[in-house]
Amino acid sequence: MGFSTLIDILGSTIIGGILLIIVLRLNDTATEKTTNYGGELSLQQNLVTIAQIMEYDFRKMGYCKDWLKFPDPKLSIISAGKDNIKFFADIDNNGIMDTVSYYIGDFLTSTPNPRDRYFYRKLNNQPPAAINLGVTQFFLRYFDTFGDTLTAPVSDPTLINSYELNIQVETVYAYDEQYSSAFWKQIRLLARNLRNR
Amino acid sequence: MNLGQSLFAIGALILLSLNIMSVNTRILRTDEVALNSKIGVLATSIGTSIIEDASKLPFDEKTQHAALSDKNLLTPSPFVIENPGVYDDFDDYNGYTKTDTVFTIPFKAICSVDYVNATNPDKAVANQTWHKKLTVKITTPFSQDTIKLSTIYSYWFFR
Repeated sequence: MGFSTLIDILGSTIIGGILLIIVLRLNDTATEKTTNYGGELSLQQNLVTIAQIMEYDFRKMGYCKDWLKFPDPKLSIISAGKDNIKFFADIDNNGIMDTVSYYIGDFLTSTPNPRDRYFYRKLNNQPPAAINLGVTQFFLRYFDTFGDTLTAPVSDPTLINSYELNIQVETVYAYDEQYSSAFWKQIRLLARNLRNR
Repeated sequence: MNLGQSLFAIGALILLSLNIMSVNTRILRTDEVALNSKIGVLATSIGTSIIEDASKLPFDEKTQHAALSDKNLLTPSPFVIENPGVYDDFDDYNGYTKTDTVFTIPFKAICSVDYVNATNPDKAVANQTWHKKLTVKITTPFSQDTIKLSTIYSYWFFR
């Protein structure tokens, strides 16, 4: 075996090694991206699910099928905290006012993500329904008629004219601990003002 | 290594390079789609917030303090804000712009208000009707797409 043959073998081994590293890196990236995209999809589905549940409840705030039972929508909010809210709404449209609460709970220890927490919805005196969809942040801001921010917890909820809901959701599992997140916020009115429009 | 072997090796390298570039392109495109989707959620939340804000206002400058039964007495279009900076009726949102930054992503919302007919709410009309349509367009330099949301606000009087 001559010198040139040795050079050939050595060169091809080096180039082959480089190619192998490239292919392995490509495979690693493909695996990472596949995991991330799956996580992104479930993340956005989770966010939509939470938004739909909240939209359904919050748009009924102060509503009652029998309006004589709840004529003043200003009294809709019972308590208004930074990360919790309790309000009246005729959720099942039966003319009986229900009490709905939303609040965030403790950090979850059963998932790899260290920031996700339980998110609770409580209807009347039923046990709270714990939602585990990767919620990492839930906070509210309240505004008065002039649009000025009210400090939470609001001592007099009748001052609230509108409020802002903020929710951040993260993937529960992630590749290499790179958690994806999505954010949703919305300003909502307490109730349509029943004045002359 | 003879010429044939060299050509095979070069051909294999070209094929591998093309394959890697193709995979990278697909990954970047999917990243872009995922980012657009996230930005879309944020833009939608900004748009719905603006719509909610506008919906709390009276239907027209002329209906703020008294009921109206003749639609010809409503403010004619195109709408001009009566008191700049004071948004006190629904059509004041015509030409309203708002910039917002969420997680370092800048958004710009541009609003327009037109009269529409109940029978064809997609088409703006010049004459006064009992229905106004607010269209909000939200753009961001981070996305090529423009999110467009609209709502129709009809005049009503609570007795």
